[in-house]
Amino acid sequence: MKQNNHLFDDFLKGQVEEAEVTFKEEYWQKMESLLDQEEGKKSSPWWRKGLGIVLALLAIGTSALVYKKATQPNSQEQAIAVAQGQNLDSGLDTLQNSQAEDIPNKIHLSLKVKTQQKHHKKKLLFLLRCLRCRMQKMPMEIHQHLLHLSRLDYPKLKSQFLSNKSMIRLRMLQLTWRSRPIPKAGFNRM
Amino acid sequence: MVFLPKTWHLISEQIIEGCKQNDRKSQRLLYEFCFPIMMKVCKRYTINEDEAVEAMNASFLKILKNLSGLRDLQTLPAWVKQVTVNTSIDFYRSKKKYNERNRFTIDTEYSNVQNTHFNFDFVESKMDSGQIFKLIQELPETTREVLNLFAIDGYSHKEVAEMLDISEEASRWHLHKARKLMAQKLEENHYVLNTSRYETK
Repeated sequence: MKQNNHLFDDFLKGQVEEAEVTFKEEYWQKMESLLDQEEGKKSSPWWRKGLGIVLALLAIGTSALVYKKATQPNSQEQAIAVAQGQNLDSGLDTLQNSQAEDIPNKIHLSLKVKTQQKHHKKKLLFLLRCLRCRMQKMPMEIHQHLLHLSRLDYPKLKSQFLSNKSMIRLRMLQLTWRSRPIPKAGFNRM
Repeated sequence: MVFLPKTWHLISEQIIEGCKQNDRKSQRLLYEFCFPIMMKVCKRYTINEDEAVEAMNASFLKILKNLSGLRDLQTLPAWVKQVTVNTSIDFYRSKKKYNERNRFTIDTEYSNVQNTHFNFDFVESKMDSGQIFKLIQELPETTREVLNLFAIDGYSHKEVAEMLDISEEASRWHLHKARKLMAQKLEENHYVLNTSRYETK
């Protein structure tokens, strides 16, 4: 009896094989668009897809580094500050002025750059006025340094700088500029 | 046995190489040569022409991608058909999800059909072009797939069951249903005469 089923299956198979299918141009057009899509995918491999993200991350990282470097003292300055900070411990004992006691130990002043601006010059002036009270003589190197820092104000500064105390004291006093408010006129009469 | 298109002998190594190098003209030639094989398969496994074209193009894409693995040009027609059948089954799987209730119904009905056979008197006349596809497409989805795989493409019930994720009993049930429905349709269209059904126990 199974023969009948086989005959039926063969009949169907024969009909399918002999049937004709007509090719239409639209079939190929659909195929072509599919191939174009595939080629588009191929042309942008995985690394190229992530390239934009990598570049963006790189840009963010670079700008963060630049910003960090701009806002923080460089390593050389830090090393100097640390070295001087170690000397500060011994220098603090010798400092007699009461204002020096509340100076933070680890604040660093990048005067070299910042004195080019007005508000920094004001701070520098305040600093120098403070210095006048406790320094009798100023070493030549500090003198030259300050000259370099504020050329415009040098005549004024020169008259105020008479101390020749150690570099340590100068640095210690420099530390106050960030944490303290800018003094009003008359405040600096010490 | 794969029915080869008349132009099949024109397929050359040069066209295959062109396809491997993404040459659009070669791809077009291969597409035209493979079209009869692919379309006949896809028309049987899908319900309309749009789906058939979709499945056929997906099949051709697979063929192009895996063309580098082709060793012998003589095996190309059989391989094309195999890829097309597999793609059509994948297409069917993506559309159809079975539920347990449907499977249960099939299993309980199976005992009534396993010894049933049909007797046919065939009319020796060729159907209109595409008519057979229309009749097959009108069958229920799983029934159509089983008929195609078992009766036309020559897979066993075990293979059909694995491919369609159904039991072998369900495959037999669908095949019986497919034959019954097809016989009715063929009789209605005067392609077969005196369809009779008898059961052996």
